Amino acid sequence: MRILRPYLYLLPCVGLLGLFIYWPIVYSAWLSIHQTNILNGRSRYVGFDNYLELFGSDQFHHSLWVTFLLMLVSVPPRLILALALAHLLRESHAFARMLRGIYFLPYVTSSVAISVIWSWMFNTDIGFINLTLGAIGIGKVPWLQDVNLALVAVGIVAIWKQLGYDTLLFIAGLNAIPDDYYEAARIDRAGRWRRFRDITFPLVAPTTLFLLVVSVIDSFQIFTLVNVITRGGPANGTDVLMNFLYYLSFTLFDISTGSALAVLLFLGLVAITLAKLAFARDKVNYDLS
Amino acid sequence: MTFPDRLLHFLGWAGAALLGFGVVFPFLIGIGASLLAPSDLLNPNVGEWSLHPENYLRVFTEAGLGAYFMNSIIIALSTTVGTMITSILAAYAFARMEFRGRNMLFWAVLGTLTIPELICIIPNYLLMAKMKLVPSIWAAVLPQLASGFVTFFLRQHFMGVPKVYEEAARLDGASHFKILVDVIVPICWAAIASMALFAFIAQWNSYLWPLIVLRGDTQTVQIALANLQASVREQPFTDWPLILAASCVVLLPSIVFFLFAERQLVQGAGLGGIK
Repeated sequence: MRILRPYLYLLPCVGLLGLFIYWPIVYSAWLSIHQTNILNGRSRYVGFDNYLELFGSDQFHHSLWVTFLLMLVSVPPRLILALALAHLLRESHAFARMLRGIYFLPYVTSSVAISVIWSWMFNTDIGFINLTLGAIGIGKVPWLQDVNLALVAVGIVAIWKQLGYDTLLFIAGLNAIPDDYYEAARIDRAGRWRRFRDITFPLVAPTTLFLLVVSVIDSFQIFTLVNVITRGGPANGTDVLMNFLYYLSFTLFDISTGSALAVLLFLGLVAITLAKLAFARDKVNYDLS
Repeated sequence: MTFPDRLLHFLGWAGAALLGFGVVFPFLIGIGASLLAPSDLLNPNVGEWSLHPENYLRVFTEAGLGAYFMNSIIIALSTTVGTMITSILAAYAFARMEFRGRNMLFWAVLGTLTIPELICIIPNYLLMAKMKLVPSIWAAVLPQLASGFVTFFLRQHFMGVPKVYEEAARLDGASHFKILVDVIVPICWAAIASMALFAFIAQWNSYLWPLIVLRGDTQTVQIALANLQASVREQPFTDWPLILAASCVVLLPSIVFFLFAERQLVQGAGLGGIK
């Protein structure tokens, strides 16, 4: 009894995590190599047919491309803007603290509610953005009806939502750089740009890499913004991979192909995480001394 | 500072302040527009606008979001209570007990933080369907009753409690459970409360999993809001103020949470170096 006691304390937590997080990985792998009829529950082994079907489908290639584009329009601007902001907002006066709070606010709020507000703002006829553009003489921009603009619109909301989080992590990264380095650089009369290039940039590289990986992983999983603002449209212009996964699995109820897609995405994300670990060990300067 | 440095600094702050205003702007304009009549949104003549605070009442009467609010509250509360119980027990075992396989199990719990939700969705859906729980609030709650993050966070705090506090209790023959409830939990109350708030808001805001397992009457307010918006997608002359009022009500808990927890969430982050 005494020996079992620790395991009794762990059982609810570890049991639930095992059942709802670890077991699904195994079960997904199994589902992805079987053809399962969701109505009668019968399954038949099909090897890699589900994967081949996925690789042959235009919609998969399209979704992969759209996800990549969304990543491209949202991640780099976010990181660059956040690093610039972090330089100012790391100061400790009340105004900097207030701005830090303001930038962070969207990160904790409901994605659905903010998506609804933004979809009104982007509305062609009645949205705030076009009303403002109209007032300064620019005609109506079909934000959510144009294939490319819709992706940009979703990208803007994604940047807006995550910017505060990135900024906070950059502030932490900047604060971890010892002031001595800058003082030494000043004595050597290194200019603003030199100080940034030779001290700040290499020393926040671990933070940058961490944020880059986290952002790439997150943007692979964007669903709510797209589902609420555009439902993947117009003309599949914002049909990201998660949207495709949802459509396959819960609209078509093709859970076999859906599982193959989920496994592929999962392996992709694991690969990114592992690559980060390997890269971080070799290339990034974690230790100053 | 030299003059160009000062000017650059000033311009930087002006830019940051302007961008900060841009960041809160959607919230402000959303609240503002939620108080207008639908026709006002098309009327450039501000003088003719009128105030309609009753839009907020109509969220519950006309749009009927009240029942969905109750569902969200029930789901978020029960997952929060469940998560706290399972996490506190596990965190205590990891922090204060010696047993075989502790490190391995701890890494397994920590490992859940890196596993994306997307791999779990289809299997968990099939499991819930097999248990005949789809659609029901149970299906939304059951898979969310444990959290690797909360367990990890609480374990760190529990480990920080000095051993002397519990030694006196142990001399009196107190059991582990008694020490946990009477000593550890009261000392770490602030950490537990902040994790409970965190868990509640995460559940309140969640969308994808409830969307999959809930239908009709059992839906959460997030789904109901998304449906309300979808029903009028791209129709210019709809009741946007009503929809925006509903968004503001849905946003309210997370904004209150933010005001409560802003210190821990934001201001502390700059101090500890994340490296």
